[in-house]
Amino acid sequence: MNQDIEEMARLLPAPATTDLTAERHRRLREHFMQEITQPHTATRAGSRAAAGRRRSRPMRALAAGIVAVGLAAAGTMLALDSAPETRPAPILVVQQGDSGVVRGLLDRIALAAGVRPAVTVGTGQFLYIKSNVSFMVIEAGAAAKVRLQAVHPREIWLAQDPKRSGLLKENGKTTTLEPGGPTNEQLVGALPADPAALLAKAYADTKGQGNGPDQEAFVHIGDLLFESLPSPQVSAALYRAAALVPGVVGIDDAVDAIGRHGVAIARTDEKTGVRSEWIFDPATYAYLGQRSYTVRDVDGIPAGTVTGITAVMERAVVDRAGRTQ
Amino acid sequence: MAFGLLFDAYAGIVYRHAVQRTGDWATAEEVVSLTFLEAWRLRERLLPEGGSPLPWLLGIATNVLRNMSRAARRHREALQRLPARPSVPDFAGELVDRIHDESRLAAVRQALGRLRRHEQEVFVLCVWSGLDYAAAAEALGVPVGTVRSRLSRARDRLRRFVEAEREPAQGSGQLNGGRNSVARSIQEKHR
Repeated sequence: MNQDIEEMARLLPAPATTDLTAERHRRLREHFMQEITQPHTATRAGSRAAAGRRRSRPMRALAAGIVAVGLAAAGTMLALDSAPETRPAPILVVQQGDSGVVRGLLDRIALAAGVRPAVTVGTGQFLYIKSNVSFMVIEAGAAAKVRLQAVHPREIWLAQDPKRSGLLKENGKTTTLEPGGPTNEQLVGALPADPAALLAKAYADTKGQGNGPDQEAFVHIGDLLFESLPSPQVSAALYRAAALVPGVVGIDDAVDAIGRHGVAIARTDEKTGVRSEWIFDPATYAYLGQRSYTVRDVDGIPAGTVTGITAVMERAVVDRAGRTQ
Repeated sequence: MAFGLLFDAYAGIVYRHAVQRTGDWATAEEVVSLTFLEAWRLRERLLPEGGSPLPWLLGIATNVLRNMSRAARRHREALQRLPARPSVPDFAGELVDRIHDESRLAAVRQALGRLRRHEQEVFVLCVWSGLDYAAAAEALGVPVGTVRSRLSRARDRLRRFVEAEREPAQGSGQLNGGRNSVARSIQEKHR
């Protein structure tokens, strides 16, 4: 059988096609979920108007909770079907978040971020992020079974020139990212260094999107911090802006994908029941990675089920996609 | 059953499958939506117990592709609420890439189009989407023997096309439908 398949694959190879972008996946999913949960809705017009402003960045995934988690899984599903390197998703004891510590904790994180050396990225360059990640994989059936991928490396090159393609390497698969994404300059180049102004802008830029304004603002601030390269001053202000988002809590002890313990800033997406944590080194307040898990029973998946976990290994500015220095 | 999770895990694969069959990104998005809406509609009757839901979903996608207009009628209102795709970007670089992809796709689809529809379906499921014979049989609702015989007819036909196309100068043993030359001439026009 395999010989036949191989022969036919040689005779007529599958055409390379562009994958469904994170942005379109999200939009189509939102549409699907609305159609099956509320047959008639009035929110369409608003979110459609916002569509043009929306960014699509693959790493947005984890912060968005289940939505994004599955996204990452989708790209690797076929490979996983043949070599299922998965394990049952661990179930954590869901800690009570503490909103009282948020301001102090984010202030310390902001102070540390504000004195790090500035790194600049030029138009022709790429922002390179290497991380170790593990995302959820669903085995469907009458009862959904949740498994996690084995922790594996993931490398992404984000183009700083809208005409150039980025690159994503994960699970032995290399994906070309569609050109046209916003540059670092466009994302964080002109941001104010005032937390209140940043917060207002985060709400304005995400108006009408996703699962509620506070959640979207939180996710948006995370995108700017972890998927672009803001100046030390703007980084500090972004952390202080995050402290002003309602529903943000501090978590005493969180663990990233490679077992590093840290303190975390977290927020729960009330619609999906998934909490996303940003994890920081407890001594240096350097960003370590993210973790997400359900905080309540979601569609038969018990509270505390880990849906994704990452650890950032390296962030750098490089001249060419595919290069690491 | 968590349909949001099902969507997250499989929308990308259904989309790729639809692009390969239709050669059109916008249509492929509609196929994704219709496939999951149909999956939702048929959930109680057809949802497989255990195992991968991929054959089941690709089977629904195959049905949607066979008769888009019927599926579109059934979900007409939902389709009207489908979020609009962003317009084509206006800088030349991406446009050239996109046209390049499109012309390649068109050439490959032209080659695929020489197979009968039943053969195309098993070919794309087994060869391009990686389903095994049993899974393809499940997807198409036919016996495994039928999958096997359709596939072997598809293989024989492809072999004959390659033989017929093979010229002394190239002989790559691959059906390329002249896609390279098509892509090149379009690229040059845009430079």
